[in-house]
Amino acid sequence: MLEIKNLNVSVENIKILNNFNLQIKEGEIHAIMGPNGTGKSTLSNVIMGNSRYKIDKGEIKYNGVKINNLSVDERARMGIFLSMQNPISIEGVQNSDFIRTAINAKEEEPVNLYEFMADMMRETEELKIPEEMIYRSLNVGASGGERKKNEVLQIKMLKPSFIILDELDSGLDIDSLKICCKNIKEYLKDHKDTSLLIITHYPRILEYIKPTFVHEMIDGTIVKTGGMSLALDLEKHGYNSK
Amino acid sequence: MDIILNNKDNSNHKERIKIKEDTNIFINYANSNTELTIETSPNTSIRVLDTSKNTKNIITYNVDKNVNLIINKLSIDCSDTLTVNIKGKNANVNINNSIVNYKDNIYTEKFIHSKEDSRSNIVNHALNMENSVFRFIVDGIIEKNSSNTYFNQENQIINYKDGDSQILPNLIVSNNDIEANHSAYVGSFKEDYLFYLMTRGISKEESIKLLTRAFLINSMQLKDEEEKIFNDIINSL
Ligand SMILES: Nc1ncnc2c1ncn2[C@@H]1O[C@H](COP(=O)(O)OP(=O)(O)OP(=O)(O)O)[C@@H](O)[C@H]1O
Ligand SMILES: [Mg+2]
Repeated sequence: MLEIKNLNVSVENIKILNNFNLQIKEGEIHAIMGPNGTGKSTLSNVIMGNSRYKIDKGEIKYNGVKINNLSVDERARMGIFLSMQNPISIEGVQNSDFIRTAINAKEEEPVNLYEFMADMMRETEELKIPEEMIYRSLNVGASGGERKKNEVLQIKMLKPSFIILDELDSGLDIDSLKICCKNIKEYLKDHKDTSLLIITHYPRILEYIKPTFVHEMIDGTIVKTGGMSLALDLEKHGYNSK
Repeated sequence: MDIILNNKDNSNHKERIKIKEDTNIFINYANSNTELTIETSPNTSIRVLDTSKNTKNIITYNVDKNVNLIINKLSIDCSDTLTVNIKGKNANVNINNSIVNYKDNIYTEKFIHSKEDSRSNIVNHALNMENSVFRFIVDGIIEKNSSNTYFNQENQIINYKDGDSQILPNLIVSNNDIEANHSAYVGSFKEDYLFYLMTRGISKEESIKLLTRAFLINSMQLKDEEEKIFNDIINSL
């Protein structure tokens, strides 16, 4: 599904990713853990195509297609979804308008408004998001946790096939994290080919969504790969302990 | 009652209208430099929808006591001079001016409060589409007899390219017992906004359209049919 080979990426002429390699197959769940500033969000931004991040070398393939030079929206329409570490707010862009526009950008036929609203109502209820949020401007006045829930709402509405969760767990309280993970797990159950890349600092989220592989990332590259035990080990002993 | 003003391709036209009851006014001038004066009567509500294009109009509202004046304007290329004389107690003025600018234009506004207990709230938004000049010149004059007046204005210009945009606000206050605020911002659509919308599969063009619509009409409280008219303008940009 996703294949990253020898990727070198810089931001404002500072090298961040360094010969980065990663392969994620259909239905797999990968987790990346690593210290602050090691380049985890850089990785998620560069997979998504953020133009601030420059690919110096290497390639990213999605379903066999090299996507290095595709625009952000093209990648999204291929099924890549980035749940952001810090989702922004936009005054005047109504949540439901925005999500409906995004669905219509992907589908050939515009979505039926009645069905769309029914889906939105159901999913907001599942996620315990107040219904009025549907009609509010995107994330305006929303707390950090509410913004994260809104990202999960968008996953359920837009139905991506490869999902990056960049620190979904930061900002979510214990109950909200449970609710979000429950929703994501249900989504994965209904979409068996969907793959997940979970970026996190804590094993807790991985206890809810069991990873196939856990990677330790240091200085812009993966230094160790294992299973759940690696996550617990990293929590106990810190990074790069031998 | 409804009044429709749609002078087109007309220069040096003069018009004077006296409002005697609650009235909706639709202004749809094109390529004109009309001098329009609107006189109000006390205790009336006036709601104006302005969709003019390419104008150099001189428009004056004389606002009487207890008048409620609402203006929502979405115009393309506007070098109008707008004067609002708030001459009556308890008058309430709400103005949203949104301008889409292609050529060089200067939009001048003057708000004069001369009686007590009046309120005005002005939002000026412009989208400067080309590398042209655009100015908002906004004067607020609060005279001596206007105790307990509230005057608020918010000005923003978004440059779509490298336009030469400026906001020149000016406030002259001769009474201490008032509240006056103003803000001014000139900038562009934030890259982060575009990135976020595009990560959901929305094309750059469509994302800009969403942001444009938000910027131009979000602060207006429009009725459904008014919103439809403004949406049609935005979709045709
Ligand atoms: N847009 C940017 N402009 C300048 N520097 C950047 C930008 N994005 C990232 N960086 C720099 O790149 C490095 C990696 O940042 P990144 O956000 O990828 O780290 P991270 O692994 O996600 O860290 P954290 O765990 O704190 O989220 C940091 O030194 C950061 O300052
Ligand atoms: Mg990060």
